[in-house]
Amino acid sequence: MFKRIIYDDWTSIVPHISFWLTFGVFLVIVVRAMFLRRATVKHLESLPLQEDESPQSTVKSK
Amino acid sequence: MNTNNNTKTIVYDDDSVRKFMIASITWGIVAMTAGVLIAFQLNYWQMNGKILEIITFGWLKNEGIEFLTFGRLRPLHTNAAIFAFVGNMMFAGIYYSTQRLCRVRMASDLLSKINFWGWQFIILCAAISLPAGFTRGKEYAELIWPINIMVAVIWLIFGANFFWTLGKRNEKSIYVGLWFYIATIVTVTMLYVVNHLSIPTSFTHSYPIFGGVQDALVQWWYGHNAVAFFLTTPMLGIMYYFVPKAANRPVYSYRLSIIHFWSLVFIYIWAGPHHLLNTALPEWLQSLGMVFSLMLWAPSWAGMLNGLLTLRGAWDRLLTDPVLKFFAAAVTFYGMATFEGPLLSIKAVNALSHYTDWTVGHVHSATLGWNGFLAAGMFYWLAPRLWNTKLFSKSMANAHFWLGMVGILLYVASMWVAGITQGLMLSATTEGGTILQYPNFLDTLQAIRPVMLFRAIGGGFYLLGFALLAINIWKTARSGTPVNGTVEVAIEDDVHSMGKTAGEKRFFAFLNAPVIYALLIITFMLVAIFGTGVVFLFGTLMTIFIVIAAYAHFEVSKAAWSEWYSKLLDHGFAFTILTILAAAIGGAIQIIPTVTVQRADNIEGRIQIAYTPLELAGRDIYVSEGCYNCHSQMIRTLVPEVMRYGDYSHLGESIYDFPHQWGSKRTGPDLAREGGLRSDDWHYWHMLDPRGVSPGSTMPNYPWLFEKDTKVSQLPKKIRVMRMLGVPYPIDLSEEDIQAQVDTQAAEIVARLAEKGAFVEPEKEIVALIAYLQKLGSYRDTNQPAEASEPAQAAAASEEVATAE
Repeated sequence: MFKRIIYDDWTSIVPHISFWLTFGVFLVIVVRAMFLRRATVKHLESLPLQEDESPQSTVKSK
Repeated sequence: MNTNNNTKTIVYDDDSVRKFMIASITWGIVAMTAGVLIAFQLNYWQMNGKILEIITFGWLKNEGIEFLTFGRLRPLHTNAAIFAFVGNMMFAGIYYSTQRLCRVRMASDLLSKINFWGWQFIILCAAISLPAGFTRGKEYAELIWPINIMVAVIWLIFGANFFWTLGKRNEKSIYVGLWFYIATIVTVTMLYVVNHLSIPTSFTHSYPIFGGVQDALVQWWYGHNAVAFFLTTPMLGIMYYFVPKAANRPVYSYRLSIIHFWSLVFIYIWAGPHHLLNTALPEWLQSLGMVFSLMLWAPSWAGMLNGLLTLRGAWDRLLTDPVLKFFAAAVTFYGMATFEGPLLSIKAVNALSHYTDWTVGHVHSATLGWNGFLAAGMFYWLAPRLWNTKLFSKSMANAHFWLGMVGILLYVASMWVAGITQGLMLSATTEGGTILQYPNFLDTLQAIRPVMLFRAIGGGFYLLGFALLAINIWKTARSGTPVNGTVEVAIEDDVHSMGKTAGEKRFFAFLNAPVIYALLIITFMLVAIFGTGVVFLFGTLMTIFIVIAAYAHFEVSKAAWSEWYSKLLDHGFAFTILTILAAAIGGAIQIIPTVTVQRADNIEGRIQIAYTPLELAGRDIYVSEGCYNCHSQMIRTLVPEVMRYGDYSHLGESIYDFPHQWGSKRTGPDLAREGGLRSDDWHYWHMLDPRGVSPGSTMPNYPWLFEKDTKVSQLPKKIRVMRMLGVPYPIDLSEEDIQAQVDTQAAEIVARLAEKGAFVEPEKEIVALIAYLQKLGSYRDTNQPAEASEPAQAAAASEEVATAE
């Protein structure tokens, strides 16, 4: 069977396999992302904004 | 979870960030200067060294300088832009944001220092070795094997430092920006190692373990994903951190960023074969590459929209804040480039665009617009914070923006015009499609030279803008004091353990139903794929059974399965493994069958005739001079190409080429069937003065080939390595035999040259190069006995043909 993957004419079905494989992965991710709790999302999206690089929050480099 | 309320002050390592930033700017100027120089070389052949004679009024007399040719400087430009400019910028962004997202200092100052100084040393080695002609002959993977090992070691040190920092973090959750960094580290490691597997023949030379079609596939799996995982995923991580910071608002949709990440990481790795459309690559791989490239549109645009919409409500600040201006333009260029990429991956469009400047324009809209502008925005945002001062000049930053923008537009637009013009001219026919309208390749080159000049001017604008950035950052740094950021963190006993030790937790992150089911399904699918008869039936039935069992289990315990994924998001180790799987599967499915089956022993039809020792030496000179930067060796399965160059290239015709030389750009014609097409003396005069035999050519002169000796002493070792790689050299070929074969063939070529009034000593490099060029296109039919082999094209060669030229 392995050799058939190489030698047969797969042109007609490769695009379909590609699409359904990707669609499956995509669907799982979308479902996971949608079911993420709002509080978790709020926490995660605020992570870059927790720091405020002001002169008060720095020390001189040695 | 056990916690106590102790707090401590974390002082971030911003010294490393400053150093990487300064290095990025410095190397950026080197990379862009090299880019502008080689852009001018494509218009004016004198820029390959002769210019120095002109501007020194004859003091530096030369007909060309070997260290300054396009073939040697183009790899310097690409490597400097990718690994030196963007690489250092990436390290700066990752070091800065990782510490803050993890609320912890980088795990090891020593490793950070080794990362910085090691990376700069590598760049220095590259800057010396590439112009000197030491190359592996594979695009973006030109560096020689000792440097490859250094790159791998320093990259692993960086990875160790990153993951160690991740393990020590004082923030439980892993932000999406860090996901992109994880994907970068693991995938670049995988790509770099596989594509650089080589067998050394000396300290400065090696042959890759893959040849011909295998090498082409592995190279573009690497080449395409170097763009994906070195120039894109770390940039996206930087975007997800710095754009919200600069806009002072969270990312538009965190959920969308999750979808963006997983779909991008999964899809990107499959798209490499789109660099080999219409070539001898098996059709199923071409189809996979094309379809996945088109599907890549969705995640790319998800990221682009997420980045742009993060600026919602801050659009008015674009007028006054150069940082946001650069970020908005960078994300827009990301969207443009990721629209154009899939478009160029459509086989019909690719037939026109491939091997032309259109691809070059596409790459530069991404590197100059997306990478370059993101770097500029990040540097302008970082500099005042790293030196505790204000940006020296906003107007200078604005001037940089507009110079850069005009530069990119000039560059990209002229490349579109050049690419489409040349593509159309090369395929134009007349007399009812029976005759090429422009049979002379040089006619198509002359037609695009005016727009190619605009490209060089556009590049000059961009370089000028970047020089303003360097001055601005320098002045900013001089006006302030270097500072390190600090943060107060509440120390929890172990934010990661949740009652278990770290090791236990890693173990239990894997030992659960979803993972076990997935592993079982993959195992039985492999049994079905590789098995025959009863084994195949067993594998198929077991796969079906496990899928049904997994579904039933999921129906009964939905909550537990959902929890597993949520836990995964807090576990760097488990998350990394999942990322490796997502990124590796595409490459494995494409590469393993190709490497296993597309070997010389399985070739049916045409198979390449192995090079003689002298031809092999000539090939190494061809690779060393970087001829592949302008000449392809692949006649695509397209009618106009067959009409122009001869029968299309079959898979077996380059099976002994280590590395393959299919190329990616034609500034000169394809050479796949060059052998025997022209006489030896034509090549002699052409290499000495290309314009003497091809008026209008922009190819450099190669006078040093007539002065330097061929390194025959290295051939026995090279042939031994070739034999290890499967090239059918006789096992009893002694050093004396090799020398004798070289002497005989060289003497024949020298005699033929002398007949035509071209005199050269047999040991000179030009003789070996002519031997190689005259071998191109030689093959035998596997249905014919090997002893009947005769270089088909060479046999057809005749002085009459050459005279007619």
